[in-house]
Amino acid sequence: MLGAFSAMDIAASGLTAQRTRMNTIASNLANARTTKTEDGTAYRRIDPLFTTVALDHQGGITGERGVSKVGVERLVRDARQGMMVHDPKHPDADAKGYVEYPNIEVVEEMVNMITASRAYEAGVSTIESVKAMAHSALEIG
Amino acid sequence: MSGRWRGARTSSLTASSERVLARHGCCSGTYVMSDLFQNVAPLSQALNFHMERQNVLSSNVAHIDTPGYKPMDVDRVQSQDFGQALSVAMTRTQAGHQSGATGSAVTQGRVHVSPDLQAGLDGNFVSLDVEATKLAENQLRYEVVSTLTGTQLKLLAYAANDGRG
Repeated sequence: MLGAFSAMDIAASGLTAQRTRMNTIASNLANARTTKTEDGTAYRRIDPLFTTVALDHQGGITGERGVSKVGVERLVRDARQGMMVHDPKHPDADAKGYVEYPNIEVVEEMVNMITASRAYEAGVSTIESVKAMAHSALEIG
Repeated sequence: MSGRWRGARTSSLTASSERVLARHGCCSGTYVMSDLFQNVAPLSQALNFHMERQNVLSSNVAHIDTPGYKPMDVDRVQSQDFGQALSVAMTRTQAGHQSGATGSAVTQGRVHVSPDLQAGLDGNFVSLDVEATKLAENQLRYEVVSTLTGTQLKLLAYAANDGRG
């Protein structure tokens, strides 16, 4: 049986997923000029991979199908090659004098950030709507 | 004096309810109770239906960025519609009255994948405007049914108080 609280749980899982995405965007923007990571290579942008997470509930009107929460399966590293800049004096330059900078496009990250922000707002307004429904149920009688 | 009046009143009420029981050919108290709340039962089922639908729609909004996700919706099984679910509450009490439409008192739903949608670049089919409209509409329907349920119960309370408020 699905009730008001399960709807809020589902919407909250969406909020968590979008917050994770915000974190990856922040990480990407912060590391836009990081030429050296722990394994010695340049930073490459990361993206969260979202997946459905089954909601365990018994029967109800809709049966078992239909609803699922969102989960972050893992973070995926973007394998694209970053910009190669010829700078032999740079400490991280390779034998030929090239430095690899991260494969981060600031515009791309900003667009992702706005999308994540709007999706978060959509989740919040879903919760508001469910809350209003639960409130109107409380006023019965 | 007023106590005696009350007593007489109560006994006449009992007599009339006994007559009602005799006419129905039934004398168990539970029958009368279920009869009292038979108008509320379909409404509470409608409430459940809309709450479940809200869950499905919330799930759609939550999956706005999940690649390959297709949004779902719930529709009522068979020919039931909103008006029918409500009109179940109306029953004919006199032969001369018009009969109210009587349908099944059960509001059942079926989950299906919403048809005719366009996929985004990541294979996601959710469009926020469609889902937001459905959420708002479903919320309004829930609130209407919840108000009706409240009114039904108030009517019962009015009858229980002998029509005095």
